[in-house]
Amino acid sequence: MQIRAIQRSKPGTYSRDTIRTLVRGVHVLETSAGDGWEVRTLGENGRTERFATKDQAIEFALQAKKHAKIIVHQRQPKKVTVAQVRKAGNRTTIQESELR
Amino acid sequence: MPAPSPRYDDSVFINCPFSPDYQELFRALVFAVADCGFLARSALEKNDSSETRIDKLYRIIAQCRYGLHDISVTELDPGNRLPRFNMPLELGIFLGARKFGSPSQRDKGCLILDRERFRYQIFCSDLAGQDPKSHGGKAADAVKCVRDWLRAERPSIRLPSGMRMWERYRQWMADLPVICDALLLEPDSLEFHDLATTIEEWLLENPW
Repeated sequence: MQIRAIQRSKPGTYSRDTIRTLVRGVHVLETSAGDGWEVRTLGENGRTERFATKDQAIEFALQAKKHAKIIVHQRQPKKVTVAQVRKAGNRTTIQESELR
Repeated sequence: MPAPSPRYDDSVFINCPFSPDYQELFRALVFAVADCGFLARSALEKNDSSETRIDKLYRIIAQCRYGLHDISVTELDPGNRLPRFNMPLELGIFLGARKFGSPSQRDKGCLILDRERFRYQIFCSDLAGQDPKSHGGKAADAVKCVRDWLRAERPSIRLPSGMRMWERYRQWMADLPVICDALLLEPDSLEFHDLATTIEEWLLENPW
């Protein structure tokens, strides 16, 4: 018996690559009360963890899903970025760039 | 009659209301079609102003071997006291293509959905013998109807149960606000192809 293949529709406003990045990514979301950050992975095995600071959340996100992009959702002002984490010895540098 | 698309055998035309109160059912139908391995098509696909609405419907129907027709909305519009006839009209075009179309159109198959199983006999008795199915206005039941129908169309392909498919839909729905937030969009106002792509990519990342 065969397993069904997923058909792909024509692209919409957003490219398939952008949507794939978001579906596969780890999301770091500022809470609505602005008192912390949540790390959220999507899908059937998705989970949510809460942290006091953005850097703690990004560090956790890096461990949660190793090869996924980290998407940071800031509330005020509204901004969505992709975080890149570089480690050199004990020093960790987090750089954020625009989501494409 | 336009030439069938290369993906004719995998394409399902979804004929249903586009009103906000039907949105959950519509999304559940698109999800179930995709989770069964078929391509959902809709009149909500990108507009080309040079093509009339009826020509667009002819084109999409000609490109789809399968049709999913929900005729459950029969209520009168509160403003003008008239019902909407678009769904029965599009079902009629689909059945006409199957009856009078080119040989490639004559193998079309469809599923007709209503709220109650035999209610159509009151308002569209000519559908007798088409065996419409009932979703009771519930998205979970609509997913099961679609799954069972497409499973029967492709018996060689393994599919999860309707209940399992519904649970997957609910998980996708829970994830959708996060995806939309990143795109600076409202989950309720996704363009059709963005909706379909989001479902397809989610399914690719979450195989059963």
